[in-house]
Amino acid sequence: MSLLNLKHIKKVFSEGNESEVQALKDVSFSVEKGDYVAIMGESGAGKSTLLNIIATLDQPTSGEIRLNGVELSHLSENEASKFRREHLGFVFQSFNLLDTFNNRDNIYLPLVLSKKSHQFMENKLAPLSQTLGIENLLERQPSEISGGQKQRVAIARALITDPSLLLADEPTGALDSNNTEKILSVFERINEKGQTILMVTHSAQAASYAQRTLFIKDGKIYNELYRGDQSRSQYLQKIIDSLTALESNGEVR
Amino acid sequence: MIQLKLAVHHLTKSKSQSLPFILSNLMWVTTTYIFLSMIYNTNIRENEYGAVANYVLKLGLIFVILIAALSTFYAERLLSKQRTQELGLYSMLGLTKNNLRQIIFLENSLFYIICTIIGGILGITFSKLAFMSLKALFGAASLHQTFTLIPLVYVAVIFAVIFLMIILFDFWRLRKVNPINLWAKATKPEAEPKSHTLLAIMGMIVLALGYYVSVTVKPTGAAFGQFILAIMLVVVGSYLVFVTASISLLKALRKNQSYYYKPNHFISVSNMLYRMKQNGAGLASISLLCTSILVALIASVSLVAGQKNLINLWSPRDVQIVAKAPLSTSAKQGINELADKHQVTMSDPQTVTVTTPVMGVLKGNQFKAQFNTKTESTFSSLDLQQYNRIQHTHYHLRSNEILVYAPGTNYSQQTLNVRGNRYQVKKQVQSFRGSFVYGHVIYKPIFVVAANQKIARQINPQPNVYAQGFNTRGTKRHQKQFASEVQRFLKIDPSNFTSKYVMGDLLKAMFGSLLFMGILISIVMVCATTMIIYYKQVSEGYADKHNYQIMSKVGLSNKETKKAIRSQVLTVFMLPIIGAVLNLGFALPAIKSVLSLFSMYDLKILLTVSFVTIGVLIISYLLIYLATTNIYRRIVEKN
Repeated sequence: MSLLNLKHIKKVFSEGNESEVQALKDVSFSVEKGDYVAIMGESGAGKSTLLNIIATLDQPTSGEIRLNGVELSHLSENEASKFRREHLGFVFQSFNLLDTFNNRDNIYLPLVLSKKSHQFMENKLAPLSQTLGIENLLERQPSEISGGQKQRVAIARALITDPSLLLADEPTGALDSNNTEKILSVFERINEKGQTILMVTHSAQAASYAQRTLFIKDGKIYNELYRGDQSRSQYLQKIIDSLTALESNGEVR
Repeated sequence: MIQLKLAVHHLTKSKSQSLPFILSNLMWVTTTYIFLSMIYNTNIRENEYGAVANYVLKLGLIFVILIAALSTFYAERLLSKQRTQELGLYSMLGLTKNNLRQIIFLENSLFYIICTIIGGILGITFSKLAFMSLKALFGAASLHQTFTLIPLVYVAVIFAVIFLMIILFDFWRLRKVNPINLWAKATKPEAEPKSHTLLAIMGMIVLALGYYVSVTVKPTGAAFGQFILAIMLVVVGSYLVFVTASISLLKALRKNQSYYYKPNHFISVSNMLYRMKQNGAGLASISLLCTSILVALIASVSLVAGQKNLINLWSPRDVQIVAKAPLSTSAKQGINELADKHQVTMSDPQTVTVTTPVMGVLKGNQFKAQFNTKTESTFSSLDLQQYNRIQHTHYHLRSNEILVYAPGTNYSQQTLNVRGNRYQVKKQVQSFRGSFVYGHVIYKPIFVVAANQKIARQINPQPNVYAQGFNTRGTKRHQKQFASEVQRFLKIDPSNFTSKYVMGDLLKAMFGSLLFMGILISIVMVCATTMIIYYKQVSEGYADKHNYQIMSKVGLSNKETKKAIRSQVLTVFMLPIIGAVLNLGFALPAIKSVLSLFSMYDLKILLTVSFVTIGVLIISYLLIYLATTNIYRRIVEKN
């Protein structure tokens, strides 16, 4: 069975009003364990809405969404919070680290919310901070480190709960090209270790690191690419071609 | 004029911030006006006891103005963060600094004009009302009120100065930053506060010193000054301790891993630590305001509650005449005639003959006569025969034995040394129905009963005075008229003449106005406290909103958010009330001493009033807490 399964997801804002907007019309896809999926599309295509629904921050108007066999569209608010904490990891474009905590406590946050012991948290953090190269940043405040470093701390926070699915929302959107590459290779590395990743992005470069790319337009899945055995530059070219076709409203076959 | 438009726009647009600011200032203006009008528009200061009341009123006025200025600044500072951003925007859009200064000036002038005009009108209305209720409640028939412009002028000037200071402060802040910083300031995170061990220790020393001074206040003429010194020390100490010790405490809590890494504590400790610099000062203010509410209420309520005791202490009979000789037959004749004239019947005549009381200090088992700021008691003696007659007792005393009657003093010594002689204290008697306060002085009376006249004279060689009293019956008005006429007829000065009805009226008026002031000050303080808490919660709500949103994405449920907020707000709320109760505990000895100046020695009344007041304060405090927590939660949870 797939890890994540979406069936005919539909999301309508201000239903019945004059200002009614159909953000998602009919979206179905599934993600297998160990997948690394990128979702691309123009602004307003419905990417963020889709991500919010998968993240249990929003609920679909109709359709079914299952993660680890749990039906997400019927969760109460408190159940959703618990579910997020236990099954999902988040990486945001704006890092969303808390200034009131130092980096270590920022990473501990989800575990503290799950009432884990301090020893448990320390054991979790040690290997993770090594993988991400942030051992020396832990005692500092988020305001004292660079954007790339912040994003690595944020990734550590997302991974420390061993989430079934890591959700990334434009994770490289606020970074320069050098840091972008570093973060993307971090994603690649953790995916190789078996972490399932779902990433929303504008950037073809970012998407080229994934194994699979979904294109969304006007609330529907428009196209789907698999990397397969292609090299990254070949795959990148295909993605760019797809995007051009998407923008010019052409059909891709 | 664009500047005026922008200023008005700011005022009307951000109602949730400017409205409380205006309301709180209105309240300050109104209260200041009421105080000023009590001082300048009434005849309080004309009567002899009113002079004291007037002095207390002026102290109160200074206190109110200080608190008004401080809390206005505090509110301004909390609100300025959002303001700065807006001004930064204007600056980027091309307004010069001069333009910005004009906007600031206009904004504050608008605030000032609105507050003084409306506040003045409210003040006039309320002072009329307050005065009428004062009169009705306490039957202070001799008080009347006139209307002059003096208080209005003073209010206008005082608040002009406060607002001018705010404007200058804003200018100064504007000078320091360039438009880019101005723009970025609201989003720039604050650095974690450092611990200041030295300041923390200094704060505790100052606080301890203040407590020490307060505890050692003696009921002497110096009590007022000493109490004020204690207050100043405690104020400074509280601020230092709250600002520094709170940071150290939170850091220590953070180090304790098993405490810190719990969901509630994790969020609240880090949030509070992050903002402790402002929090500390705010908490200290709240704590001090609560303390002053308690002190003002307890002192004034005790006075009113103990007023009956006071008159009984002054004189055991309805009418009492203290003189160097017994009343002559013709004087007695005259009094009888006056009684007939006013349809008053006299009964229970009693004459107490004692040696003229001397002022002095009781130290250990030694009485020393002295009259200065250390003076605590008046000391006088009488013979056993008289005591046994008045009390219907059958004590026997040897020549070196005495009985001691010292209300308000727990004299547990076995002996008493006076004028080089040592006497064996047979008993500290709990009752003496002839006890009176000579000359209505503020010192505690001590009476020593000796075996005979000779020894009594040996103990206190002053000539005898005769306290001659009787009870009266008749209508209240008649008794009062009768008493006044007796005083006029005998040509005795008021300090040697006591009439429970005349006295009662005077005391009612005086303590009534003190209670009135106590309540007024308390209301002001409650409003100030509420206001500070409100501003704190609102500004922190806005600051924490982003954090809670992030945490909610990471998996903090609504229920947990509520719990975390409750834990955070509760800590913020409990600290000041604990501080206030602690302060009060140390202030009580001083209050007791100051109250003794008004001849109030009743510790039971004082304690009862204290407990009731603390209870009421905590309940109303909790209500404010619940209300503001809701405001905070609404801000944090709003998307």
